[in-house]
Amino acid sequence: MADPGAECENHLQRHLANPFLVLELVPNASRDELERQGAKLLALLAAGVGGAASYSTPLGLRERTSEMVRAALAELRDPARRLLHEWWSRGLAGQLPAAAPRRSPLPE
Amino acid sequence: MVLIIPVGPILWALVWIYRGLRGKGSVSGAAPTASTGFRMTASLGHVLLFISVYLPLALGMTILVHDATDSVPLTWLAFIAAVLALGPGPRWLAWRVLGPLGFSALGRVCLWLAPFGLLETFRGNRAFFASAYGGKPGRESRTASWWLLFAAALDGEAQGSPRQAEQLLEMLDPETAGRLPWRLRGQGIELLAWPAIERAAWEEAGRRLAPGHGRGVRLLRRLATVHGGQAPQSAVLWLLWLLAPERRRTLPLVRSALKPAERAPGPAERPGPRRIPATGEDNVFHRHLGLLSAAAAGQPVRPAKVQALADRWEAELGGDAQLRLMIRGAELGVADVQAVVAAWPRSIESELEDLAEAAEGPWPEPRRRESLAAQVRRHRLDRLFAAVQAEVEPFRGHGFNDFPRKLDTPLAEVERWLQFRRSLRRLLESEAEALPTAWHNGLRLAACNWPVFLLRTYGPDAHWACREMSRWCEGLARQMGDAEIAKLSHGNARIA
Repeated sequence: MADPGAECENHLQRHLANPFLVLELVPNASRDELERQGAKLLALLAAGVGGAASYSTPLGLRERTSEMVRAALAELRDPARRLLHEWWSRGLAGQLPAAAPRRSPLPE
Repeated sequence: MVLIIPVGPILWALVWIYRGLRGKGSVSGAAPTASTGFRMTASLGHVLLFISVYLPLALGMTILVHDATDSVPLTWLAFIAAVLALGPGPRWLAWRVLGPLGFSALGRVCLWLAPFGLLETFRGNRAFFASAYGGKPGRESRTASWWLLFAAALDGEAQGSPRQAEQLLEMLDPETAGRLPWRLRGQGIELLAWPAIERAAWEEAGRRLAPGHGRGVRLLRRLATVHGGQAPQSAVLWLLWLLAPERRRTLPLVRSALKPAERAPGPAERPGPRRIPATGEDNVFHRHLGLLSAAAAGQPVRPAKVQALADRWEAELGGDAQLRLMIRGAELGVADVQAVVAAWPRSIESELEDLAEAAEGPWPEPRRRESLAAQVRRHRLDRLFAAVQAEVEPFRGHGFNDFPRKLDTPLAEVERWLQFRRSLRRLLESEAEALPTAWHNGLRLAACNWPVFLLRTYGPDAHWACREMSRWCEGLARQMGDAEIAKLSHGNARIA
């Protein structure tokens, strides 16, 4: 049986590396905006500008690298993957309409 | 010349020499119902060192005191003091002074020079000392013992994996903890708790300290409760600190416990698990990340929280959300958008299943049996049942001679058995009625025969493992009312 802690860590890392978080763009950003922002971040990272080396997530600041920026751009070029990243990004930003929870009685 | 013959130590030495000789010749491949006499192997080198060096040294010191004072009580006192200084003295020096101060090489030398009765204890001390304070472990890979399990737990912690420590704690119920060697029940448990204390995970530290015993454990346990929120009683805390070992290390903890403003940061403030800003607390996405973060950091995740999260997701993944996703997918030009959207809830469910896997504690069946929470719970039970059955299966219909699995070293088998035992415990916590099914489905054979096969494969190296595994099996058999297995396992535990 796989280590559940490690599996959860993998899921967490994937969510925190959401391309919209990495690129610091809103989920409905256009293709051009994505590419421009990607190029800008790559240039800033190459120049060693301190502010570009980190980005905000719901769990605090995280390190940003050129590889992450390139991976984020590649992910968002695939429409199917972009769709899911958009949905998570909207959810984390609280931009999705809230659904009324259907509760099961909780265990004691 | 003093006319006091130290009958006790001499008898003790003779007994250990006898045990050592018997231990070396003890039988491998023992039948599960046949007694094979003494199983412990004396550390003959140490016994000889004690007889030829330490005892004459103690006697010499005693003679000197007697000649100087001519008092029988003082002479006895001197003899006892000398034996204590030369007996437990070097061990105390190694474990409580040299190790904690960072002089691990000197500590190891002290352990070599300390008189040990049993070879297993000597090797175990060396291995555990190396794991705790550095140095080459010199571990006997074939054997299994409490010492080596503790050493493996510390090694795991050093590598950032609490798995071995969790497995060890799984084994330490109050009855079993009573059988721990004295050093392990005190300092061993302290060392196991320190990584949690250093992370300021006080709840976890308290859990690890529970089976412990001794002055150090008492102080750390009290500190865990105070840092956990209980009002401190400063006089009691200072007294416990005064009585405890390693006062220099614990002083800052006592001070911070007595000054709430200076207390170590609580779980909310320390780096792991990371905390989500309060504004989005009620958002299901944030809750999801929060639980993933807790599980990834090895924090306890309660089934009730996973169930509540699953309920929230069930509402979130409803028809409206799917419709919105389909529309947005069409805008983005997603090929086969229906398939993409249809597969999407499964990814959430898969993450919930991993969270459920990390959850600890009873999880009764939700009232809505077709809910997402119920599905996640069922999947968890299926995985646990499969994990138990995977270990049971090789024992079904197979004896020792045609056993299909190659048994690993006793230590590796004990670690594997602990994982099996943990899976069974977690399964039964949520589905107590699974025990009779599992028991009659081969669990009784696996629980009873596993230690016996191990003993027959490895002989004396597996004695400790066989004893502990058989004791557990006996308890389970009694719970099931299976007199035959209980009797067999009782016998096996006595043999080993």
